[in-house]
Amino acid sequence: MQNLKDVYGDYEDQVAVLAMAFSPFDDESSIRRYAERQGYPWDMAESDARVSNEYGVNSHASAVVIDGSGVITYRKGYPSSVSEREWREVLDEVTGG
Amino acid sequence: MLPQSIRLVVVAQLPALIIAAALVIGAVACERTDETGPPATTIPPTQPAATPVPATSVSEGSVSLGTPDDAASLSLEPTVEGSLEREPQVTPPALLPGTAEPTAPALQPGVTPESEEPTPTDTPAPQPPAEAQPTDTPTPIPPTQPPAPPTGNRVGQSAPDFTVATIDDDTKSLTDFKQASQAVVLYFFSST
Repeated sequence: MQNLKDVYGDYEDQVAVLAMAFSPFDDESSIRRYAERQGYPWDMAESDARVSNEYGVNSHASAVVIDGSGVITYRKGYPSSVSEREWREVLDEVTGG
Repeated sequence: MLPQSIRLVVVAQLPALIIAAALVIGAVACERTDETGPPATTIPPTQPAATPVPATSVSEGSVSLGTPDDAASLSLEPTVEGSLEREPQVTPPALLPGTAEPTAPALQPGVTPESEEPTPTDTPAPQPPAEAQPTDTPTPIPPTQPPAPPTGNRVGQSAPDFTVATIDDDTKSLTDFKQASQAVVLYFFSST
């Protein structure tokens, strides 16, 4: 999520980020420590099996981008490999920028 | 005995007799209308029906005024006695120019344009409803796809709705983001 954080300052007024653990082993305290250590400015949430299943996320990190009308415009497994440039392209698409 | 047999033959050949009688009556009418002038011209078309007579009648064309009765009697007799060959020779030319040909072509041109015109009017009519259906279908799709989560997690599909409690005791739902027309990055992560 580091590359997303680096570009997020330019989109935070138009794009919301919700980081959700996909593993039940990440409890509230571990998530809070992790967010503080990495400096993530967005909302963090514990795992929710129903949401993970509905979005097809099981064993590894994934990012799903949803536009303002609720349509999925982008999804990526192992999103830590997404570069800042690619994040900007993805976020520009959903913000019309 | 003879008149009875003749009657039977006459009854059997009534159509031919009617045609022959009509020809004779027509000939007589023409002769009566044109009493003095051109009997010679009107006679020839009628006489091919009664072929045996013409040689004498043409030669006696001047006497034709006095012979309509004789001609009628003569024309009936040859048809009764006579050959079936002469009658069909007369009937086909009488039917073809008279009744059969004008009616048939009159019906065909009348039917074909009518059948062609309604078909083009019918074909454009079903097209607009066909166009209206695809326009109607895309609009109901967005509301119908969200309640189908398994098919909603790919690019281009409507994302499944979610309501999540954050670690800061806040609630985030996709419905709220959609109402605000705000894009969302849903990031599934692991801290380890």
